[in-house]
Amino acid sequence: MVVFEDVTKIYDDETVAVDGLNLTVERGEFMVFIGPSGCGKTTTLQMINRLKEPTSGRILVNGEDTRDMKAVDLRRNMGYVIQEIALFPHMTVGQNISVVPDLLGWSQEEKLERARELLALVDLDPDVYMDRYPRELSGGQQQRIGVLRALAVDPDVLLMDEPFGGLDPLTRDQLHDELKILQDKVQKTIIFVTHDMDEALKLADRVTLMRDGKLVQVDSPEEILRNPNDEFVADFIGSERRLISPLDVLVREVMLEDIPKLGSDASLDDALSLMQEKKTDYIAVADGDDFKGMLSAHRLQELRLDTGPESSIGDAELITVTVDSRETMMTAVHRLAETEEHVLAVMNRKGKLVGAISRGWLPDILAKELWPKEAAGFETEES
Amino acid sequence: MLAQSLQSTIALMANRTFSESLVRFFNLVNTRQDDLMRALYEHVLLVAIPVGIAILIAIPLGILATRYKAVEIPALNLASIGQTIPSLALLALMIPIGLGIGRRPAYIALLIYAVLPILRNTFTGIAGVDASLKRAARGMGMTDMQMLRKVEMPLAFPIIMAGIRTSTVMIIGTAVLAAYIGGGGLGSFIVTGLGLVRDDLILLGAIPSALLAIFTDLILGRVEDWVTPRGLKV
Repeated sequence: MVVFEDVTKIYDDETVAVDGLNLTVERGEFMVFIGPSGCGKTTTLQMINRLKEPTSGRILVNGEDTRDMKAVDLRRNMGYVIQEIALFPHMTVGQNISVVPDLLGWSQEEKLERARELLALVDLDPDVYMDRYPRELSGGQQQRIGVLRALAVDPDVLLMDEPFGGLDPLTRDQLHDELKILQDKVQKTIIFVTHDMDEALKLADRVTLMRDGKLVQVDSPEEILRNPNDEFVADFIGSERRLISPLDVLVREVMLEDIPKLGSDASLDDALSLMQEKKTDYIAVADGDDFKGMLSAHRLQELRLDTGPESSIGDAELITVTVDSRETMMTAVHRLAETEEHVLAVMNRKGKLVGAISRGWLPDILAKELWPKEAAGFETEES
Repeated sequence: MLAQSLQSTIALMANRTFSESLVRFFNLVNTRQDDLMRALYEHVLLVAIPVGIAILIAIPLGILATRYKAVEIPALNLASIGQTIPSLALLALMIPIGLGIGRRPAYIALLIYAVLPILRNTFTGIAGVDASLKRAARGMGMTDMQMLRKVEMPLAFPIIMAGIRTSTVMIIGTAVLAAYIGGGGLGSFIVTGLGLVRDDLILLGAIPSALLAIFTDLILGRVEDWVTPRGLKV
């Protein structure tokens, strides 16, 4: 985890490169810093491993103030990958990967074993590549080694400063895919600087957009695309990228977050009046934290006819179809169609109920995604 | 005096063919083998000692110059000034500044001469290491000494070696002039030969010193190649 607290960097010529930055990058998060050149993104990155020192404020890595650590110790425990790749030309691939293990005094066998293990991780045959020199490799292969070099001692945090900026688009695309696969395997806290929006959207868990040393927006790629904070962000994203299908939207972005709840001992009449009061067509049935299922207005009407208004909702057959909040609306819509239910419970990754997707609300959701401005107008009229 | 003897030597030589001179030179090599070997030995010392000391001074100084601006400017300027003084003048200058004549002042004058190529090449070799490599090295947690030892020196070494080569070959030539201040070496045959108007004696100094320069250049060229990291050659 990397935490910035009021971090400011003013250079000797009085340029304010970073201005009062406050930000937390979670453990295991892939955070992309993006912005036009001179926005302070690279300075921010280099302050983490103290290649640059903040003028004021502090940076915590895994809870520890970086100024309290020796700079070389801090850096050895943090991977660093740069645009220029900068493999040492006089060292073999194996030696390059072993630079930090070597600084930490690993034995020859340990270094060799680790280098071979890492090469295998990106499908480069150790027997072929260990003893090659950087000049014998293509740009893409070189940067693969650059990434492995940064991972050699299994650091928690990986700093990547436009690592793929010097590569051709095809290779870059390939390395993006590999990096995502690699990240799934190694689960590092990655801080990645780029000026390429496509790259940011493709890789990031969250994107930090910077301008003139300040944060403009910190959000998931989906959120940035859908709700740019201001004109600057919208321009930076570019209008063509915003035309994504409403069905690519994540469930958590559009789900109904207001969920009326009742205990299983409540009556069908109680449920009806709660729905009327909250203007919903569903309620959740839960005893404390124990979620039983959803009850839709449609089902409620049937039950009232069958068993009478006084019977308890705990006896009714509840809807237990759920959808993960990180899934797309495409999945949610399919699930509604397949199960012929009227409402889906949305669960977060810990299995906790966080929202609902109901059939009745689908047109509104889709309209809001397809024509955001008109939808905004429509909403204000209604409220 | 010098101009006169040169004139008469040239006049004398103009009357002979070069092949006649060469025959007399080879006779001299046979008859004065011991003298030749001694002069050659002296000459090698005249080169090895100043260049050796120059290496010990110039490499650390060149490294410091890449670290501190306060070293860079005076060091490089002083060395350049030393080099601009004509070599014969620098040797002669040893006498009035109180160092007298003989080998020691010759070593000192040649040392002043030898420093610059090594200093300059050390500085440019290290300063010329790609900035991104240094940033990567620092970013991975190398200390300044580790960066110097593991990255900068290996990459700059061929260039430093080229400086040593230039310096050595140059000093082999300049050391011939040391004979004028009693420094000995192969130059003493030339000085005597000029005085006595003996072309064979001049050749006895000139040919071995030229050969010494050529062979040293070849050998140090090999060394230069040998110290170039393999990764830079592939």
